[in-house]
Amino acid sequence: MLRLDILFIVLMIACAWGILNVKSHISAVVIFGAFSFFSCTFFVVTGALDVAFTEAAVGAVITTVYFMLAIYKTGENVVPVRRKVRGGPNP
Amino acid sequence: MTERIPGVLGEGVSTRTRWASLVLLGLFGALMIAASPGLPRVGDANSVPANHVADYYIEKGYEQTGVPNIVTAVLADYRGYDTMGETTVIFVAGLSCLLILGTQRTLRRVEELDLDSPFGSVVLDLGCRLLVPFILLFALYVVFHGHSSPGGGFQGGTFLAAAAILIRLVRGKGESWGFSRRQALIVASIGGSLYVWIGIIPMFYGKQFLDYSGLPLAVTDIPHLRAYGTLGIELGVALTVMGVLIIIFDCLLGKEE
Repeated sequence: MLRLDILFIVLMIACAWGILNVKSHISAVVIFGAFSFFSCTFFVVTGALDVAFTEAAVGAVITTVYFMLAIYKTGENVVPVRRKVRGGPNP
Repeated sequence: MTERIPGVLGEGVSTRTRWASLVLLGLFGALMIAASPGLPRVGDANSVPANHVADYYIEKGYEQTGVPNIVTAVLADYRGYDTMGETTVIFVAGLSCLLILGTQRTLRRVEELDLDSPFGSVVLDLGCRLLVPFILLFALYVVFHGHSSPGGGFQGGTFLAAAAILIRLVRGKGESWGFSRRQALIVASIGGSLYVWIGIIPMFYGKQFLDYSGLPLAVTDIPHLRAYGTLGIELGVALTVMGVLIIIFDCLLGKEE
């Protein structure tokens, strides 16, 4: 018997390992979307269709967009505004 | 080992801190594994939730609430208080984002990419114009057909917000079809208060809070009334989720109105 749920869990663990080991933030976010999608298919296999629907809508779409936006605002090519912190070292 | 994301994992962390966190994580994992045999097995017929309420919901759910999808019946009718709490949590999350991210601008880009003007090409624009009506239609289908198929207020509201966010991403914020942050906040508030008022109105007719059989509608049999009440609160949840997701998107975008 083909155990699809075990396959999806292995893929989820592989995604989690990949998120920690890729170079750029954007790749990590894309792999996180894939992680959401695998967990969504895992929910489908276990019969929780409503949860899978929510995971596909929120986890795979909205969260990815939010993370992309957060990277766009705070990514590598963004510097903090230099502010003089009271008592701190001068930049 | 490939190169890690800079600044995320352990630069400038001392060896003692690493060992301490490893020991703490190991203890936590051992605790979780030690506690896991106490959980009921998947599909166990003798577990506590399967014994007490599940059979009741499965047997009586449709004839009492008039909702064929048992998940929707439990979420919106039997456990209406919990769903109201979730909706409140989502609404408060949106308000917190508005409070924290809505005014501060502590980061600025080196090269100012301007999201106010539309970006992309004719292909993106036409694709967006083609997709958005279908997304909206599917979202409404998910909200209103959540009675008898998977779906409901949360998912439908997410799809509505996804359509609005797609418009913002492709067309720029200037052409958001008139759906500004203020209007998103108004829509979210309307959704939440719709939920609460559907709960309160039966109290004027001698029923309890969130007992939809007391709603003053033109139908008389109780399952139909409860189905209509469920539909109303699904609509409220959808409006709240849609408004809050758009608010969070706009706050992350960080532009003042």
